[in-house]
Amino acid sequence: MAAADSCDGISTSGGGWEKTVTLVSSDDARFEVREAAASLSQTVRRMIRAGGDGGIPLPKVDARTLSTVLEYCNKHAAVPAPAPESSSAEAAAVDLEWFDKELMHVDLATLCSLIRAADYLEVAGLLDLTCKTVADMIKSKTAEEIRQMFGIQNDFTPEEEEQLSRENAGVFE
Amino acid sequence: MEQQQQEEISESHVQLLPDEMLEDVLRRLAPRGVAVSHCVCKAWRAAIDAHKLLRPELLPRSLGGIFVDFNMLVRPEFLSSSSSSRVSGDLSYTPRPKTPVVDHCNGLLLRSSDVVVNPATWQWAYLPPRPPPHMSTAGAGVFLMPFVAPRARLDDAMAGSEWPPSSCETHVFSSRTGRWEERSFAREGEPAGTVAAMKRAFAMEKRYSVYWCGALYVHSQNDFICRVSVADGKYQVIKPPAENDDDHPQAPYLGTSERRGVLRRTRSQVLTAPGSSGEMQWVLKHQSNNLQQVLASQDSYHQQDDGACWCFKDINHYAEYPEDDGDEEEEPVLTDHSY
Repeated sequence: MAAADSCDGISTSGGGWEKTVTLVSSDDARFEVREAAASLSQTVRRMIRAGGDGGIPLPKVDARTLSTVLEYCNKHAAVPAPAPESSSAEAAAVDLEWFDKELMHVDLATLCSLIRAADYLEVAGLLDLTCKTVADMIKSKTAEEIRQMFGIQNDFTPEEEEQLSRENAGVFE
Repeated sequence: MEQQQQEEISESHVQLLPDEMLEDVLRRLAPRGVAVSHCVCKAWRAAIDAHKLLRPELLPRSLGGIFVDFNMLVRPEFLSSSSSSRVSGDLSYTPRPKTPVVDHCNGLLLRSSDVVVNPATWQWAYLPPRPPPHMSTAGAGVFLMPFVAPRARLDDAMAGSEWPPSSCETHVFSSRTGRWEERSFAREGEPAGTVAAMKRAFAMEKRYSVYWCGALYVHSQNDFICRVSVADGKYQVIKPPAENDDDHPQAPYLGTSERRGVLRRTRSQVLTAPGSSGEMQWVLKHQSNNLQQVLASQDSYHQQDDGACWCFKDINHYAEYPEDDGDEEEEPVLTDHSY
């Protein structure tokens, strides 16, 4: 997935003929990707249809984030003509779940970049996965712990705080 | 590693998630997580409010205990699910502690029609005086009182008109503004009957009202239940169940259950209320020749699965005979051992 110099083209990598596209990150890194994988992004799919030269510019996604997004897309895009050796559909699903779990082992800032990228690129599966992961990180925390986690200032006045604790009496024990 | 991440983020002061993506995350939380997030900061609160993600009625609430009001005793007793609970029937921290509890809702008690008590936090507040002349009142969010026909004398001209009327004005106490507000409610669907028919009903026995999913269910005349939706100012009449086989007519008990919503219990039946929309029909959940016998045959003080015990502090007895403290037989704490 290193930087490649081609635009849309035909590649022989991987032993078969596959159409690829080149995506360009905000910091000008170029990624050559199978079109099937890149098309998991509705935004990219539309840009492929619209055509253009010199790769598809994605000014809102940096190289580090884009490489993770593409890792997800490559894994999730159906690989054409798979070797019919072992994997049943069930095993594939388990493998995919495992892969997703591993991919989400990143810090919160990275996760949030991934959410923004998944939203901009419209990769529904990745948006769901990342949002779910952040929700899981929030779910058993107190409001103060959440503030620390996100670096949020508590901007409630003491009166509002008192009101909140009254509203929530008995809920957060 | 988490420590390091937190420092990194705190320093950056970047808004990690724009509002629309914040909503994507928050709507994947369970109701409790949403309620906690609602207290994080103004931006989060606004995101949750804007998308109506807060569902207080679905929050898990643990049962802290049950207030029991004995007619002949001065103070209510509290059957507590934990021996360390600070909740008690001894409400001496409130004004006029010996006045009776007249109603309750969501863990709050209403005493003598103007003092609202939160026994969990030991807080209390006066309810401002209700403006005249309406007799029927309903509360928005805190306290709810019966929505029954005025017992004023009705002249013959009114006797043939519909009850409840197609619209009615009443005062509603808003816990948000802390004031009584004049509100108008429009009836949806059929009336229960005519004013004349309702007049014949005996109105002043103990009636129940419960609040569930934004609506107030009030037991009204002739065993009808009014379902009052506080938010949209509408109300509907729910007819009594068709097979009401009670030999001894008495006001049914209205209650709520976390899973089934509003319940109506009589001597022999438990029914669940019709849903928030569509057919207003009761659904039978339990039937027995004598439900009270079934309930009575249950051992009153079951030990809980986790080994905790229920406690009954006989405060009326101890208030009268404080020196009885060491009496074995009067030991109020039930400590059932496992068998």
